[in-house]
Amino acid sequence: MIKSYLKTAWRSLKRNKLFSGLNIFGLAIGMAGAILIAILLQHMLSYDRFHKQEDQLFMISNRDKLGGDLYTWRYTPKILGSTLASERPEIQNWTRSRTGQSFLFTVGDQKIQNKNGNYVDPGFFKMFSFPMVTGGPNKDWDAGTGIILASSFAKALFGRTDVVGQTIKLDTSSLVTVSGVIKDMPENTDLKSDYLLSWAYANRFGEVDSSWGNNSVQTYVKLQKGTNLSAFNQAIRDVTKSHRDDITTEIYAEPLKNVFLYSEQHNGKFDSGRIVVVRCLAVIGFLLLLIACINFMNLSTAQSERRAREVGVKKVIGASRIRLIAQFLIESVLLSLFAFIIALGIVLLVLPAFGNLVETKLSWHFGWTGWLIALAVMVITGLIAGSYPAFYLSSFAPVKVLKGSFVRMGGKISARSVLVVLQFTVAIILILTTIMITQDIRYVQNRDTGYNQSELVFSSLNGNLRKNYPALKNELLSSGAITSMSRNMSPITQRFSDGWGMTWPGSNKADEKTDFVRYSSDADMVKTMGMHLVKGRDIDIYKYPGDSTAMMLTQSAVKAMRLKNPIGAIVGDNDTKWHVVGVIDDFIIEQPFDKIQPMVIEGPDSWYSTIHYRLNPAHSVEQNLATIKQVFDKYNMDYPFEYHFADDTYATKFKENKKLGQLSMLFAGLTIFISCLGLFGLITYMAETKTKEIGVRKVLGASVAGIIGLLSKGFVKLIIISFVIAVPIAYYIMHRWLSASTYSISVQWWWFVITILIAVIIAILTVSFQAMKAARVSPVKSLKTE
Amino acid sequence: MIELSHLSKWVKTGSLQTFLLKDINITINKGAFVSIMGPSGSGKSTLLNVIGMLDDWDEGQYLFMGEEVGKLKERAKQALHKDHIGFVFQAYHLIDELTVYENIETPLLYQDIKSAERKAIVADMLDRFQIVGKKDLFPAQLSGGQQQLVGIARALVAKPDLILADEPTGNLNSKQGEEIMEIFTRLNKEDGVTIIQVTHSEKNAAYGDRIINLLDGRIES
Repeated sequence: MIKSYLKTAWRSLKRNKLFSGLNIFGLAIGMAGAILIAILLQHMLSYDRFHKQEDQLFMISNRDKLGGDLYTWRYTPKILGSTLASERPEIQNWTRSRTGQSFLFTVGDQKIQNKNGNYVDPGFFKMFSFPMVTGGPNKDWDAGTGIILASSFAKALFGRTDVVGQTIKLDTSSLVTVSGVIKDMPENTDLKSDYLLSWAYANRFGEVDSSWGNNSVQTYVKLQKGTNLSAFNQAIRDVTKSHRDDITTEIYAEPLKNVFLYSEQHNGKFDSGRIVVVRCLAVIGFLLLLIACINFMNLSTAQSERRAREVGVKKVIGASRIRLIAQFLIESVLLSLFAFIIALGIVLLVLPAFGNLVETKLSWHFGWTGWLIALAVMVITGLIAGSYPAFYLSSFAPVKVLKGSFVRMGGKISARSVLVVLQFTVAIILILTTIMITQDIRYVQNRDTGYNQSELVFSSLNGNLRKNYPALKNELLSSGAITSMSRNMSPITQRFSDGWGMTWPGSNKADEKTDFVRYSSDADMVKTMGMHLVKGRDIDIYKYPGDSTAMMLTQSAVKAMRLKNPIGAIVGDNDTKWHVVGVIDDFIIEQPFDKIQPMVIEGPDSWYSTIHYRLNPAHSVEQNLATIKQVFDKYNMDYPFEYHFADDTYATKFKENKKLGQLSMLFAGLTIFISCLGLFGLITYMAETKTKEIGVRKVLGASVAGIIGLLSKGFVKLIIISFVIAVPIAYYIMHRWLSASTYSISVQWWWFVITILIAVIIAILTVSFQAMKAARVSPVKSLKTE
Repeated sequence: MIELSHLSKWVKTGSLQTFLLKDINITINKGAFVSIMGPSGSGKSTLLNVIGMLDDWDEGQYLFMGEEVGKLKERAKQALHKDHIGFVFQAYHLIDELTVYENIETPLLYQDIKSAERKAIVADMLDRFQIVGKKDLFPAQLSGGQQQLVGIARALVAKPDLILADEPTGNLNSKQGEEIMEIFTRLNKEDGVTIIQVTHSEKNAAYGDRIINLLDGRIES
């Protein structure tokens, strides 16, 4: 029996090549999209889930009220880990971590600057499952004179991995020996780094402090098996407070597995962030599959005319309805199997490109449970997709079908219309969100940054540059390659420091919780960056010796401090009294999507990490850079010359959103494509069922255009219905999305116009081909059959 | 075998009641060969479909082998007609996706007959209708007459007691028609199969041993 089902199914597939092709292809595209999403989701959900003691690992976070709102953040004081470990017996191991360490590695002639380092404590190796290749944390490492390298980085440095005991020069002077080589960390960990240094190393250079107010490291703990988390959190809540009276910060532990997914906080709780992306993707994947299923149903039922006779005959010669249902279901599962195989092929083909798009190395490791789930999804897809045609086709009454008096369902396409409306509703929502995301990005990109980005370049202030800075500056200025230069706390696109507890004339107790971004400058910042000076003057220690404690405020800061006459005001920060010399317009240093925070720019008694300089427009960029490189190399021999354009760096801030925009565009495209396949199927069906009507109309004098209009009209109506349904849903989504960031575009009416135009035009294009074909058939042919 | 008494079927359009069959009384015994004749729209096919349990009626009684069909559940009706009735159509109604062999085999599949036995029965059928050489061809590759042979073979394969044929020769030329009629006669005489056929042709009707003439849903003679 099964064999006969399969045989009929196979032959019927072959007979209707167009329909089978559309059917399988549409389903395959939907499945491929869903599989890609599944792979991405699997990757996101697997972050830091591979550690053997995963359920015992926790991260310590802070929670405090700032400016009236409850905040939580994951950076903790350096002293917290050891203090907690000595106070709480449940803690078996602990480690601090600060990823993003950057060093210049020198091995012989080989020089590599690597920014993926991490400072950790010995507990790190006992907590996380990062296997060693050779060696391991030894006395050298504990003492801060050893280093552990990831195997690929070891290869890059030495060309091999058996390098325990070898010496490496870090930056300009410090020597370390290799204590061990660790297997490359997988992509799905927040701790991914190329080398691990001990905190003892940082200590050697005075980078370790025991302040309870400086939140600068992440603290991980491993708790005893079976520790009650809420009891533990109760116990540790006031640890920070108990060590310093003037701090109200509470701490708590959260499971490591939540850290990656719950990356954003609201009201003192990490409750959103990547998990939202995960949920959105899951919904999109499901919708994609659903739309593909709908398509399948539509195309299958559209073929019912062709198969009605088969059903009738089989019923007459003794087939029960159950058997017919079984036959159609087996057929659709078979189709779904084909589609699945094609989908796997598509996935293999596009996975690397998709990985590039989402900037993650995605790999295909499903394991047998994954395959089982995939198989189950495939069979269920087949059953769902086949259910409607199966029940519908098997319900035909044989007499009607066989006598040719079978009521053609020209007017009864309601069920199918509903399916088409559903498809296009989803498609329209996705088009709208795509437009919104890209428009929002464009809008924010056009936001006034408050400084002039073009030809503004920055380099790290490293090695001998600190010592040689005045000479470097003089020589660069006189070379004519630059017009201006300034030393600053951080790149113009990144904030390194912020803090509260500042005082100013008229400040009160409540103001202590007002957070200010800190920045620093030695001189010529306003000129170099192209900022706008509102009042007073720029800081310039070369002209005004007293400027080592000078300060500039941004407009927002003046407002936050409620200063009527800011110039000359004294602002207290970190036990230093700064005198305000100037006020500048706000500029964007953090997220272009966010509100600009008030900022203070401090003089040289603060610290620097970055040099900014403006290229001389009189020469070409290449010429300027070549000259600058020569000068840098002269004063900083140990370090390769590195530079970044401010505009390029600023552009990377849009990467996440652009990625989302591209993903949304991709899936909108797929949805539209699949929906069009469905539409194509429907119009083909309609043209087929209306052959006679078309023939008669033509005999009566209808034109080809008139008939195309007749056939297309209904579909345009469906699209408009979809649009009406989609608009409120899309509006809600867009409103939610746009209100999540403070600086964003408002919903524009023309997005809706464009969307409906796109949808209608695509639909008409899809439909008109078949409609044209049907309208051109000679009535002699179409009427002969009766 | 078949007993229809005061059987009527009608359709209502608004307040107008049109009879498709009106007060039909027929008894057909086992082994009969009946031809139903009448002009277009006289209710021939409707009558055949009612007898074949493919269609309902509105009034009267239908006894099939002593059972009252009107009182049977759908399942029981289906079983009756699976076991006892074979259909032959004017348009053959073969399944296009199946070969000659498979078309003939299909009714056996629905009767859950084992594979070896199926093979034997189908081979026997192919033999009997001299279409062994065509068993792997698809319907589209056959002439009309050949297709109708396959249609008859398929109707017979499950060994029915009754063959219902709706204008079996309507799409065939006269020579092919004669062949089919001769097969029907042989089946009737040699195997004792009851045959009811609907036909337009006086000549074909004469093959039967009884002719029922219908006009406007009534039996004329």
